[in-house]
This record gives sequence, C-alpha cells and structure tokens, in this order.
Amino acid sequence: MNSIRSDSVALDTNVFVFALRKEAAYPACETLLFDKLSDLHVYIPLQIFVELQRNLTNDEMRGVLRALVRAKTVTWDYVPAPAERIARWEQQGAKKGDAVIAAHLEAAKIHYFVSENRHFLMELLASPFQVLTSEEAIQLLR
Amino acid sequence: MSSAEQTVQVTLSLPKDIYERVARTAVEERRRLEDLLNALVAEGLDAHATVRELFERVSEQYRARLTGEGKLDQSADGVLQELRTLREQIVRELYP
Repeated sequence: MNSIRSDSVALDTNVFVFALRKEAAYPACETLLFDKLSDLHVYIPLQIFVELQRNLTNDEMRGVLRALVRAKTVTWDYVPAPAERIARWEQQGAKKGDAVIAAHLEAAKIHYFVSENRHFLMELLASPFQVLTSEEAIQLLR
Repeated sequence: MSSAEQTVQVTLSLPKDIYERVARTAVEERRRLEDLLNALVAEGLDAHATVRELFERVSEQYRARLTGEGKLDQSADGVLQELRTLREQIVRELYP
C-alpha cells in the first residue's frame, strides 16, 4: 500500500516558490516545506531542478539544497524525461511541460506529486501518481 | 548593506593539525584560506539549525530580492502563470 510517509514525493516548483515567498494564499506550502520536510522522501526531477535554478540566485539555490538534505531522503534525478512517455502524455491532452513532469514521475515510479497547479489535475486524469495540494499532503502526514 | 554582506574580523587559534588540514584543502580546492574557513563555519552552524531556520534564511534573502525587483506583491495567480510559462520555455530548450 502506498503511503506519503514511505514513498517518494515530488514537489512542484510552485510549492518551493510559494513557501519562500510566504504566499498568503498558499500557507500550506511553507508548512510542508519548512516544518514537514523531515517526514518526506523527496524526489526532484531534472525539470523541477532547472525551474528552481531559473527562479533562484546561486546563493538562494545553495540555501535550498542545504535545507533539502534534511528530508528523510532526497533523490536528484538528472536524467531527461523519456521522449516516448512525453509524447504519450501530450497525446492524452497534457501541455508539453506538464507531460515532461508526468513522464519523469512515471519513469521513476513516483506515487505522489505535490503542486498548487490545478491544470495538472484537469490535464492528467489517468495519471499513475496522485496530485496533491500542500494542504492535502499535510493532512496525509497527520 | 545587509548583515550577510557585512564582515567582522576575528583572530582564530586552531590546533596545528586542523590548520594543516584546512590549508591543504584550500590548496586542493584552489580557494583562499579565509573563504574556506568562512564556508566551514557557516556549514557548521547550518548543522545545528532546524530545517525551518535554514529555509527562513533563504526566504528572507529571496523576499528581499523580490522586493528590490518590485515582484513581491505579485498575485499568486500571476506567479502560477509565470511558472507555467517558464516550464514551457525550459521544455522547449531541453526537448526541442
């Protein structure tokens, strides 16, 4: 049986950005990242890593990396997403960017993806992973 | 100037073997001795900090930068839209 405590969880770039901004509309992002990280096995695919790099300065990125090693485990996946899986998700209606994320998670057999991007749910109805908001992820950790 | 950019001079007495290890590492990593010592002290402090403290430090830095760029009061929806656009842009570069 899958569990958010024992399985790897991918965190979308928006979770990091909202947490660091202390975005009032998404307070659970800060709680999940700042207070619950040590309960999670975190998986970071190449696409998310590059997005973080584009949003943060080198110093800020170093700070995030220093904090992330405090997760139960953290896996950095630098392998590009498989082209055939990207194509399949696009055929199923996902935008290419979301198709890349889905292909990464599917290839790495990740069961949970935490994102505040609701487009994901609308595009990927038959995804092999569960898309959760930060709030829902926190509820599952309780 | 923020406190992170200000410097304070200190005199430090180290056991000789520690000093030699640091000096050797600085040569191997082609770094200035004082830069390496600075990094080692910061890493040592991080080891004692909570996850929240580590993230709070980055958050403070990030928010200060966004304030300077006039982007901190951007709406959440605006941020999400910008991130979606960035994702498509990166995908075009990585998977042409």
